[in-house]
Amino acid sequence: MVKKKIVLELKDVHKIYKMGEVEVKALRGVSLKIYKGDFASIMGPSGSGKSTLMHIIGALDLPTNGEVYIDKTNINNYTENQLAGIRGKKIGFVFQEFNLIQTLTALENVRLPMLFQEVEDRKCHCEDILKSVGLGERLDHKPTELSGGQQQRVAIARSLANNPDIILADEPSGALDSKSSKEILKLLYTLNKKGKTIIIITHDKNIAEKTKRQIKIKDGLIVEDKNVKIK
Amino acid sequence: MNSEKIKQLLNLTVKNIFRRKVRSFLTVLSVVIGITAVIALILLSTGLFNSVESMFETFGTNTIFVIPSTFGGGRTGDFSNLSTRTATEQQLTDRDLQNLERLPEIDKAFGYSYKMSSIEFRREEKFQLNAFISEKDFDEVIDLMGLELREGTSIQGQTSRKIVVGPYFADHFFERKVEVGNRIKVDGYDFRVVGILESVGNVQDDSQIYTSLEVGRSLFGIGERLEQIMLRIDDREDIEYAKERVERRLERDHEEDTFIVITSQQILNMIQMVLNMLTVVLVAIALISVVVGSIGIMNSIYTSVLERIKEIGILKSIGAKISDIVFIFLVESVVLSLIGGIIGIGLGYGIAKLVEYYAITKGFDMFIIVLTPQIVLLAMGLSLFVGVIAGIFPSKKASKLKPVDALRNIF
Ligand SMILES: Nc1ncnc2c1ncn2[C@@H]1O[C@H](COP(=O)(O)OP(=O)(O)OP(=O)(O)O)[C@@H](O)[C@H]1O
Ligand SMILES: [Mg+2]
Repeated sequence: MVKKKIVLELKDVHKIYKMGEVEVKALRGVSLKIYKGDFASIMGPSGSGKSTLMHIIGALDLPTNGEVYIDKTNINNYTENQLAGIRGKKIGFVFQEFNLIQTLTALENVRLPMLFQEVEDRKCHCEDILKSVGLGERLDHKPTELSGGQQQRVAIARSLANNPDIILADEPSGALDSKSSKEILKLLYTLNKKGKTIIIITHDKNIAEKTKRQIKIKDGLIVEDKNVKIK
Repeated sequence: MNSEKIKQLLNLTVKNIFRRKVRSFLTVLSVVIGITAVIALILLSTGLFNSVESMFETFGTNTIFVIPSTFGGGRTGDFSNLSTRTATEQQLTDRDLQNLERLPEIDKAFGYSYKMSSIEFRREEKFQLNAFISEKDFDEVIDLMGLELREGTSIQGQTSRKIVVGPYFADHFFERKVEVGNRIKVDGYDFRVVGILESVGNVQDDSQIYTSLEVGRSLFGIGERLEQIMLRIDDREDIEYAKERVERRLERDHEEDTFIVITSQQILNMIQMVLNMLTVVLVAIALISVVVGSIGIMNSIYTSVLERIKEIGILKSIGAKISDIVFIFLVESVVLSLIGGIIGIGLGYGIAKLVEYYAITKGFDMFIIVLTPQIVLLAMGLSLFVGVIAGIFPSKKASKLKPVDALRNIF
């Protein structure tokens, strides 16, 4: 087996939320390596720490203890702006509730991530991206004029705008009917085939079963991590 | 920041402003009120300044006025003083005029008097202030007063019962127009109108009538008394020194507190000082409303931040830096305040123009409102300043939100 490149690594990550006197240990020592080209799911019951894990993987938050490496670089001591840079360049987010900017059109939403990059006037291939997710006819539509499935596809298009290595999807089909849900999953699968590393967070077994690498989390700890063959 | 980014973020801001039409409108309104007040008050006070100055331009600054003091009785309530004085000690007369004219600093001295007269024209009777000017100095005096003839002739050197009238008196005072050649009765005596003056811009002055001092003394018994002496100073003389000399000379015949000597420059300075104070007070009041307006904006931007916490989280998750978030909200604040500023300039100018129009219809046509580029720049600068100050705190707060908290929409 060829040695695969590690794009992201967590070493003994703890996350403790302090709420006044009460401490909530959301993650209690998670170590994890994500390889380039992974198509992974992180599954667990509600409150198990999935979203917390996603925030740390996505550089949206830093752990209380433990180290985070993105592309072999430790980001523990990064400033807010450096983290924003990492998020913009290396990671694309897809959220359960789509998280599009309501006042902007599909195309404007997809164009946003590029604006925050330092690179001056990079050519936007945003229209092509929207076409590739099947929304070539919906460029100038506002989120409110699109169905849930379409909105999520805009969100996926937006996550691709800066051509990141990793796509992080937190319950991407949680708000969708089963038909749209399947379409979104298919879309992510296609992206994976084109070389993107995909991590899907879900509590839905049916979705987890369709991913190549299945990680299970419970009470802030990884309890299972297996690779399977899928059809 | 490249131009595409600025364009897109502006787009985001403008769309957001339009999404919340009512709130944006109210926010803009709070700025409009402040800027309108500032602009209107600045325009009105500069208009007033200019009209006062142009009024004095006709006088020149080399004139000294001597008037009997109305406080001539000495200390208040001290009437014993009054009775010991002879009438001439308290009055200015032709003798003073001659004495003052003999001073080397004085080029020329003019005296005039006035009284209320009943005027009858075509069976209509009205009362009007009648100014008596010596017929040998008539032309020079009305020139010093800044008056010019519109039609007819003056009464210079004419001993008979002739009268020169102001334009308002001629055109609007009576039901029928008074014209050169008409007869009018002054205190029961027949006079012939020989001249009509050019307007000076205020009804009171434009309604005055002018007759000969000599005729007045013989017909109406106005006596020796002069209500005012005007002294023209040689241009080469120091006016302050001349004023002192005039005072010394008058003190020889009158007690110190029975007359007032004042230069035209002093009058101008006094009026300007009062206007200045007025302007400072009014603009201060207007600035308070600007402050209130900026609190309105700040409140609005805080609300905007609260409403858009999720959006801030989204933007941060796709790579927005602290400065990007600050920019977004600062731009919103500045755009709102600049819109308010532009409307405020328009409204303030409109209000000032209305006042100008009203003043002109009332005959005060020296009052002219001019909107200079400096005032526009000042107002725009002020609203920009307000926008930045009001926007800086809310946008700093927005930019400091942690992305995770913002996405969860809690903080
Ligand atoms: N900001 C926070 N402050 C305090 N406690 C938190 C915070 N975020 C998460 N937690 C707690 O940490 C634990 C893990 O939460 P997390 O959101 O990661 O769970 P999850 O697996 O994503 O759940 P779900 O499937 O319901 O989304 C929970 O007990 C939660 O209450
Ligand atoms: Mg969750």
